[in-house]
Amino acid sequence: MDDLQTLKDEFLSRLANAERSSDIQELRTEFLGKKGKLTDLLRSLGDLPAEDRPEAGKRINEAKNLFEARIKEALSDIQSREIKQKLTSESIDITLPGISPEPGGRHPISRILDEVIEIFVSMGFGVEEGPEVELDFYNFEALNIPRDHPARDMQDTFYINDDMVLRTHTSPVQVRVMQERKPPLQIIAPGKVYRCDADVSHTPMFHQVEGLMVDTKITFANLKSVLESFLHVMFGPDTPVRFRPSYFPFTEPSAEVDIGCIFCKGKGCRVCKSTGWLEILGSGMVNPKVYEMSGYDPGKYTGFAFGMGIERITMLKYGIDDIRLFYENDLRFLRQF
Amino acid sequence: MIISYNWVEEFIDIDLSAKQVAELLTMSGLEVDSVEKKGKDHIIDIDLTPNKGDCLSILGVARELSAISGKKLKMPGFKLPAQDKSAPVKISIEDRELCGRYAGRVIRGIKVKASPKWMQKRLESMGVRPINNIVDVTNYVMLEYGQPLHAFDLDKLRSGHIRVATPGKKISFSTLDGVKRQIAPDMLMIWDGDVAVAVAGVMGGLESEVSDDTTSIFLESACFNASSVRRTASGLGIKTESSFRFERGIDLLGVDKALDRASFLISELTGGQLCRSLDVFPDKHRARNVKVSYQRVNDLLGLSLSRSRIKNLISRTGAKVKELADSVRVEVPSYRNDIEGDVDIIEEVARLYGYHNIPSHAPALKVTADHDGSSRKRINHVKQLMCSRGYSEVINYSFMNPDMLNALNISNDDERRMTVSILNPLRQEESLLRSTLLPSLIENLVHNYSRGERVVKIFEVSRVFIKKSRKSDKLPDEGLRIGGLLIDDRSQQLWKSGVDPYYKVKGDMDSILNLMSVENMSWKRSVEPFLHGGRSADLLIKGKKTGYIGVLSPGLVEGLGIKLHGADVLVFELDLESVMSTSKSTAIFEKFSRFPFVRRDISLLVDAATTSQDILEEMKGYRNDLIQDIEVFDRYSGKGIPEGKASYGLGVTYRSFERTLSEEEIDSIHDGLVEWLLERTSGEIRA
Ligand SMILES: [Zn+2]
Repeated sequence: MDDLQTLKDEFLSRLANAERSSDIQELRTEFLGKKGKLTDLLRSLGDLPAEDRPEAGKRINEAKNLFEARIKEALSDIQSREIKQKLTSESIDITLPGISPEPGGRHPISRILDEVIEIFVSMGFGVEEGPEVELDFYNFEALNIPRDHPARDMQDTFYINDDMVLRTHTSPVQVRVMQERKPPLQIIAPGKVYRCDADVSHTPMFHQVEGLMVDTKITFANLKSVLESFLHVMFGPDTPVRFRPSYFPFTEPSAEVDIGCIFCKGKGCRVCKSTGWLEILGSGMVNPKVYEMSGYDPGKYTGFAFGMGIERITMLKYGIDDIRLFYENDLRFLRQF
Repeated sequence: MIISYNWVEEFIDIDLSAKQVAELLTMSGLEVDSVEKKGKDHIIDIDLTPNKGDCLSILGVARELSAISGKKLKMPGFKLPAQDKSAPVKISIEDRELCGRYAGRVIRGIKVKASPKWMQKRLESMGVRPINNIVDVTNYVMLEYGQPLHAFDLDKLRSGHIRVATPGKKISFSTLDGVKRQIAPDMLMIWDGDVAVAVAGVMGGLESEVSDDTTSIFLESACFNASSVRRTASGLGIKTESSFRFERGIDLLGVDKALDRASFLISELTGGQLCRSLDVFPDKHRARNVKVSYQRVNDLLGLSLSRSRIKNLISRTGAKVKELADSVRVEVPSYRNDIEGDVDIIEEVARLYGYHNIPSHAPALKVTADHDGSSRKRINHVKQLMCSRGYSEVINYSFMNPDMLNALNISNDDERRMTVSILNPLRQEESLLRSTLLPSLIENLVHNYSRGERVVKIFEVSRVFIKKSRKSDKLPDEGLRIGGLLIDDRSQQLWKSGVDPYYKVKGDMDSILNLMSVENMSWKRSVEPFLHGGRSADLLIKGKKTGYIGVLSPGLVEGLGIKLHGADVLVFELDLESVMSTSKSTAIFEKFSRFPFVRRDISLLVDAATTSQDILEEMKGYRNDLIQDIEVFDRYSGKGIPEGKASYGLGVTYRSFERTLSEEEIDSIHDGLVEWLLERTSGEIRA
């Protein structure tokens, strides 16, 4: 049985030198195949004396099991080595940018407009829209701004014809809603408005959000509360807010609303013209004449209205110093939002 | 309006600095823009609202300060010298509607020269240029009292009869600025007999102007109708200190006081002899009475002020207050033309009480339906989608250059030619309202490309305006559009795709339509005159054109004045309202089969002109409940395919809701489908 030991030694040394899985497959055929060396040895058992056969057979079978186990081991080693090699050769620059579209984004005005709308919606206001080309009646007359009234000076108007204008504010939406529905009303009207005016601080088109709340017992104290809440969400809970008398033809009493300057914290700077305050909203109790025009009983209902310019709020929020940037649509500007 | 603080202080003892006064004024409704130190004086710039005509003077501001502070107002003290009993002119008001009061006085023996330094300084501090002692006094008293005055050279008034009347016909008239003006028949004029001598309340005439040789004057102090002055001034295109004050309403009862004040100053400065004053005041002033209920004051403001407190606050405005049972009757002072109803009085109460003293009180929340909230949310989803696909949102002016429609070759019968034009545009290039978003997007491209941007990918959601009716009071249609533009003109790119960019934009469109669950839609070759005929499509929803996508025609791009490096400009525009109106706003759950599905592919060879949409339409015509889905996974033409043909790879998925389908069952349906398809497309199966 020395032959078996020799065979074993040969097999193990050759297996140790095998480099590829194909080498091992060859070894398997050479030793364990139908005409393999170990199979031959098994076949030669018949030549042995009968009493030696069981012992020799047992040893050959043990060798066969050993060979198979070793082949399996070696194969798995080599395969995992080969996979590893393959993966290494396929390695890529994992830091190159991925395939994705250029970064896009919302226009800053559109963002802030949404933000403002969402705050009022969360306070229970509905959202209404109306035409941008509006009848003089809705834009002016129904809001207590008759034709020969100096209040028309407050808004430089683009005319389409004698009866039609580009709306100068979104207040006509409120009149249209009042003509259609009865109180309680709690609405905002966002949208584009137009003034015949273009310079460093004016663009001929800009955005407004105006609001209206009408019911049987709405007070000036309610107006203060709603607008303070809005401004505290928009600019932070510690922002100082002040109300001061003003004039709008469609409200009486009227109030201009200021917030403490968010840049200098009220100490005075260029943006607030060293007053420490920034004008942010116009508001007031709806003038009974507007109720009459809209078919409401002015003795029965009270309410307040307010309006704000989105460009101004956006400029304050993002620190933008030139209103014209909004409508140049320069990608170097737009990509920042 | 700018005012001299030193001058104001003459009429009220107020122990405050100019800065403190500015703060006080701002918080009571006279917004101060700036306070500037000028020598020993402070110049306060007030941004006066149009309702505060009563504050367009030094005395007006002093009176306001007196109301806010409770300090007493001191009127100017002067004593008129002895007057000549004669009245060399006669005055008649022929249009009482337009002139409520006309007073005047002749002053003789004057010597026109420069006014004294103190007066010149005062005028200059208020931004008025000194001219001579007569004109300066009229300006001085206007600034002090708020009453516009005018001095005529008496020797130029030949008839001695001053008439206040409209011409009734068109006339021409030279105003003292030397301009010959066309006067409309309804503009109120001052006449010397038949000769026009002034545009009432707006500007005097050239002929009767006071000159260095003037020795006698007729001094006018009158009250003209506010709307009439405004109409006349804007009709003539002039705005004067005088017209500005008349438009905002002056004090009807102050007309004679201002006349006396000016007469006094003129006699002081020139030594002129005053004649007796004339005062035509046909309808005596009747003070407006406004009833205000205590309850309403508190209800509107959200306060609980006592009756005496309310009464006291109202009195501070200078109004006489009479107590009634549950209310007060307020006699409105003649200078407060802005007070008409009880809310105006309530505003005075709030103002003098201080807005900051009114508490904040949350209203009871009434949840109202968010009327168009759903469409707003859906539009926002579309915007978000476009952003995540790499588009930047732009917002353009709603204006359009009329030349752009020609540049886009839009035909004359196209709806987009039914534009709305602006009567008074800022520039000719902005004289139309947009009927399409495309011109703005092209401008955005040119702007950004010429600044070095090689990838421009933008979209806009906005209304466009189409005039459907010729009637002047019929509003135009305002339809909501989404428009976009894409160009990628980089010569080198890290990742190369090799796909026709048309399909990228088509993919963007498809995702919008998908997001909106649009049904009954189809594409056909675009007929837009500004698009590349072979690489563009119109979108139809229920057979109606709803938008377009495609490559901008190369000829058009050439005319833009930017030099591209061979890239295509892709554009699209969709009628967002039509898209939303045909789409399902909420998904409805559809059952799916629990049994496995089987897929069979078809390789179909057809004429190259046949589109995938044509093929899919035909396949849909073969109705079988077991077909779940059909997809196009390949289109190929070129090598190995006969000239003029294209090969399509189509995948068909079969499934049943009741059982696992057998091979034989599927074979028989699939064979039927293939046969149906070959017949209808005149195609053949490619081996
Ligand atoms: Zn500041």
